[in-house]
Amino acid sequence: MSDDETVDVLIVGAGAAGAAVAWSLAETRMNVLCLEQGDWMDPARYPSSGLDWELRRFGDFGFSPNSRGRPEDYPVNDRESPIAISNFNAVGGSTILYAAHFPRFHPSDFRAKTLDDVADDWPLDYATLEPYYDVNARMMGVAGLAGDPAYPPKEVPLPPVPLGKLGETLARGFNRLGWHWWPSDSAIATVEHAGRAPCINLGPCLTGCAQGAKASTDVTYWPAALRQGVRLQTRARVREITLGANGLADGVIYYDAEGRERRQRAEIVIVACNGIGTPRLLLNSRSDRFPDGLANSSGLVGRNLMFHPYGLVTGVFDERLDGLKGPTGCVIMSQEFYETDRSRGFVRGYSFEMLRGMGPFSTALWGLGTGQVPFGAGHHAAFDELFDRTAGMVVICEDLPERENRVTLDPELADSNGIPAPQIHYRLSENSERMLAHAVARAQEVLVAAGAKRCYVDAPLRPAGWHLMGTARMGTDPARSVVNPWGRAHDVKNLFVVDGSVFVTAAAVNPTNTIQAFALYAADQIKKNLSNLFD
Amino acid sequence: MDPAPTPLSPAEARALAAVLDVLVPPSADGRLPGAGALGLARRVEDAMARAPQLTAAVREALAGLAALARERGADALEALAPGAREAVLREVAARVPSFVPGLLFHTYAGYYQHPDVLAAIGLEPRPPFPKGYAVPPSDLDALLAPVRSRAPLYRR
Repeated sequence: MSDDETVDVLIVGAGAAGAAVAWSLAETRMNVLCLEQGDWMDPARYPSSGLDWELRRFGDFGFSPNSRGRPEDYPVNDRESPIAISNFNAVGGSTILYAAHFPRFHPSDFRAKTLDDVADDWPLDYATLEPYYDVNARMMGVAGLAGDPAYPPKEVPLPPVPLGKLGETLARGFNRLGWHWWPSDSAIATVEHAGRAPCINLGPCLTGCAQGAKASTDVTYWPAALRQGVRLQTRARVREITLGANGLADGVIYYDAEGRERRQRAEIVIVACNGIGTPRLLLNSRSDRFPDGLANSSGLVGRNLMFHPYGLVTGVFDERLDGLKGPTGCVIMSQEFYETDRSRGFVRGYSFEMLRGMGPFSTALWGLGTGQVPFGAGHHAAFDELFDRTAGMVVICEDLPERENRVTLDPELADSNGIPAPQIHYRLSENSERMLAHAVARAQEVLVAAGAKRCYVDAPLRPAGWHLMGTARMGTDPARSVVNPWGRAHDVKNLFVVDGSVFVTAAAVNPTNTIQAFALYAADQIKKNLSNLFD
Repeated sequence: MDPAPTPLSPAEARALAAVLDVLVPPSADGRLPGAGALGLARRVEDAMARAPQLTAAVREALAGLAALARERGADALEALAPGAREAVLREVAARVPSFVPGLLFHTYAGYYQHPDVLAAIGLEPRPPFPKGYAVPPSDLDALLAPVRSRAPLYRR
């Protein structure tokens, strides 16, 4: 790659959003290049191929970039936040580690202001994204079951993941209470799909899928995009987006694998670095014209950071549940308490998602931490009473946007190239705290209804900063948003943001499906408006 | 930087193995081995080489254990009666708070990833990949019947 070359489209980040937008733009035959700070992963080296698969979750496949110690990662100062950042840097981004739980947002999630008089409405609606959800379902390979009364009718191409004894046990608990549940929409090939081998129920999806059944974008969008001529350069860490004299972005400065400073020119720059990485990059891209960060005339770059406050509730059962077999994070889910009911004491709502069981090492550690499994003479009896007799569920609460929850640049912390690292400023709102308390109480009810003899609660769950949203929000008013309804920066007309940063609200489900649907929608808008894109 | 060596003396290594057998003893029915007998002291020593704080805690605790054993008329921890070892260990653990938690992480990791232990607790002693696992199908029609009968839950 020559430093003198100018590409038509430069995408920063090869994760969920960057892959989708690259694939969509490939059909234009424009010269599309993606720069990714991570590398290709080798599925043969994923933890599930070794007996130490549980231990590696604490090492090179941990959730936190601060503990993994991989050179591809950048540090994040999240000490002031009760929720710590979880992400991954590689081709595929955080989809390498995600559970592949793949629900859509509800129609009401785009209308929080109109329906509930909180936050803002999105400048687009469910019907606008619906065809892109459908495309994404086919590209990623979504498994599930049609007919869920919690959703409008939707396309689900593949059969659902198996419930197993654990899932059936929990489903009966929901039925005893008369509450909603449904097999999880999962981005997992339950049958052979688009050249991907079917899921064989390995279990540890959260440390990469050695089978290739889980839809990380390195095995879905990227092979298709590369076949169509998109280029992808790994170990290329972008420091800043540069601005030309005409006020348009003219490329980036990045560091290659050897740490050399490089220049890449581009006609269009698309940022897809997630809700933390994107504001970090924009805030690091200062100029005379944008002294507070690129595209930041609104002052909103980095603000309105939203997570999903999680609670983990684990039930202990008398009988063994065969819980190690099957995708760990995808079984069944419930949206009984998803839509607003103000009599509950909070606005908006939450989802339940079931988890499969813990491996033996995790059982011993969790048993130690919760005082259930001692060391010494009583160890084996206590372990036997716990192992394969636990079923967990997470509650996923909708977060609402607040200006003071934000990403800034840390004054001291930097990555291995010396680029300032992000700092997280975040607190749970009263609404979130009330919602979380309601949710963990209901979770215990359903676990007991399913037969649990006791429950343990961890809320808010600290290592649950997987869902990173809101920090470059979209809207029609340049004073109240960073990008327009299709991701174009109000301030810089050839600069786009297509990741979770643009979300106006967070909903109460995993965001990857909606991130990708929006990326596909934004790409279509770019294609439709190519003739007057910079007007 | 290469990890610093942690040359435990032969006596310390024997004491560490005895400690591990107290933390995770052999099961009464003989089904499960003790962690020390499984050779996990070597694994802990490897971890100590990467964690100076763990090394310091282990050394301090081993010295404390040896002293307590002598007070009770034995040459070393492993020379005490099996029933007395845990009491001595708990006494030292209270004095060196990081000792047992640091050891347990590495001990449990080695123990519950060992093929012999996996087999003894009812698992196939192999990694999940490439064989995977079979999960029988569920009767979703029956299970979901009450849910399907509900009116739509979502708002437009």
